[in-house]
Amino acid sequence: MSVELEARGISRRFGGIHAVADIDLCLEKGKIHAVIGPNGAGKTTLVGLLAGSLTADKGEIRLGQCDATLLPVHERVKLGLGRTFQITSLFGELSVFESIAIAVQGYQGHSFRFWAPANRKSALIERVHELAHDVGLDHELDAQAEALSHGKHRLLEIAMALAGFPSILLLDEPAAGLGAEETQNLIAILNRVKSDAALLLVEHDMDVVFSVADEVTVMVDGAVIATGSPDHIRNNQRAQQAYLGESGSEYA
Amino acid sequence: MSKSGGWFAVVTVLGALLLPFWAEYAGEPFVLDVIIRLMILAIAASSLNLILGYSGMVSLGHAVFIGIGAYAVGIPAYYDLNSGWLQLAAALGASGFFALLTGLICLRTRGAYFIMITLAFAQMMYFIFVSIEEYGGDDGLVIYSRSEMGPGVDLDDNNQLYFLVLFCLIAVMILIHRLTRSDFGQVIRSIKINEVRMQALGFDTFRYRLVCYVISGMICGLAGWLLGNFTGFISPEMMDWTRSGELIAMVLLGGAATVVGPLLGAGIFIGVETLLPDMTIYWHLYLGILLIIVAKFGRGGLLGWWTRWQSRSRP
Ligand SMILES: Nc1ncnc2c1ncn2[C@@H]1O[C@H](COP(=O)(O)OP(=O)(O)O)[C@@H](O)[C@H]1O
Ligand SMILES: [Mg+2]
Repeated sequence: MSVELEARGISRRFGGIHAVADIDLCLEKGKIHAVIGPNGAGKTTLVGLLAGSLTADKGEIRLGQCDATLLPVHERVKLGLGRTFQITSLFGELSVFESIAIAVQGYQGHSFRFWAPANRKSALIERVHELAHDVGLDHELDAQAEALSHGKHRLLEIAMALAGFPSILLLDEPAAGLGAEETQNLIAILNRVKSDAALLLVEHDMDVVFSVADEVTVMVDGAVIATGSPDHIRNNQRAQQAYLGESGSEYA
Repeated sequence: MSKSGGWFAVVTVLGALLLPFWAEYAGEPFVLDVIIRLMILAIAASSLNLILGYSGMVSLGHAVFIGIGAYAVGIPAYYDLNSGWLQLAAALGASGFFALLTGLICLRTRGAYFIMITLAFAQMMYFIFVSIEEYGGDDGLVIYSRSEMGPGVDLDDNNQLYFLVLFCLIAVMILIHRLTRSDFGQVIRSIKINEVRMQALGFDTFRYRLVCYVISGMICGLAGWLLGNFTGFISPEMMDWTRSGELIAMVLLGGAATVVGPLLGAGIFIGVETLLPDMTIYWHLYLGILLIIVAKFGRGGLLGWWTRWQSRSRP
């Protein structure tokens, strides 16, 4: 399987805090790589470093064949990277249709078209419907983004991130706050998406992690303390002590 | 556009087309001058609306582009270069170039820093023109001849200047209507709502904001070109920050992020300016109070208040 993203020795400090300390990471197409760890472990910072919204103090990031270490966010997107945010980040006043449409527009090259009305091209409209269908928002297209439920906010996040056919998808706690049914829907989406992309899944919900992950990395205080297959992590002493022991006792 | 809005537009344009004939008939040429100034300010406010209303960037230096456009008439005219097309090209080119140059710096900042740095650049131009003795310094420069646009057009005829300004205003309003609903406009509006998300969707948001800033500056340069022709006198005072403040007031009073708002705002401003000085010398104070009331109670300016009132009376 092809390596879509490779990070070597990336680090990031915030003042005295070593939020991410010398982490190596490899994402392969067709696989879901879960990152777990207690609050403040540096998971979101790691996502930010990979996406380019934060710059690394040290280390190297490759996207496909390209050195992306110094590239800004939007250029990493052009190299196939997509992401969602831990704290829902949407266009509140826009409708669901417009929100997905702007994401599709971002994928279709530049938008320096000043005269023709937006959102009229049939290719774009078709793609928006397709994405809405993929995540199950078919019936909400006309709703205002901010009027949706929390669960649907999370789905809209994912639909927008999928618009550009990403080869790498970084998901920061997509299951946070979802109900049981919504979580099952999410798991189905992740399993469908992974055939075309390499996924990084930051997640607190151990049911989700152990049902979809091909590989699991445990982070504590910015560092990786264990990495391996779900079975390996389940039986790993240090991972249990550091994390699973406190919040996911059923796996201990 | 709603049905009532469409009728309103038709009636307004018809009225505007007939106004010069009425002014002549009624012997009120002064009215024409007032409306010309109103329309020029509406163009300038519309251009500011592109960045203030649609992109959410408060610039306290926008009047600098009026000044640049006006000097692009005055300086060539000073050397007897009266070709209107040359002056227009100079106005658009110089204001676009200045927007590009300053935008590269201003647009890296946000909020209060953006306000301060746009103000700083405008004041810089202000003092540059104050210091150029050749063009009158702070006394300003008289333009003895209006732009020559070619055979059959004579801008010294106030009626013709009126129709030119009217044409420009309508063209600018149509342009902004189309622009803000285009792919580009959709990007600009979305950046205003959530720039971080737009970057994560692959948009080089800086470039879009820069292009928007340049377009805005050029439209304001057009207003300056018209104003220079209209007043026949230019001075650095045209780019003073209080002028920029007045443009902000117009946008907010009329309704930010709407096509018609700045025109309404310019109307209110001219109305207050024309009517109140007879009653009080403190009319700026009253304008300020009006602005505070709008900012506090009337979200969306006059136009927002009107649409809310309409939707309440017709549920
Ligand atoms: N922008 C920031 N400024 C200062 N400290 C930060 C910032 N972002 C994160 N941190 C700190 O870095 C550490 C890791 O945070 P984060 O990456 O959000 O962890 P997680 O997502 O695993 O909960 C925390 O101690 C947090 O307080
Ligand atoms: Mg986090």
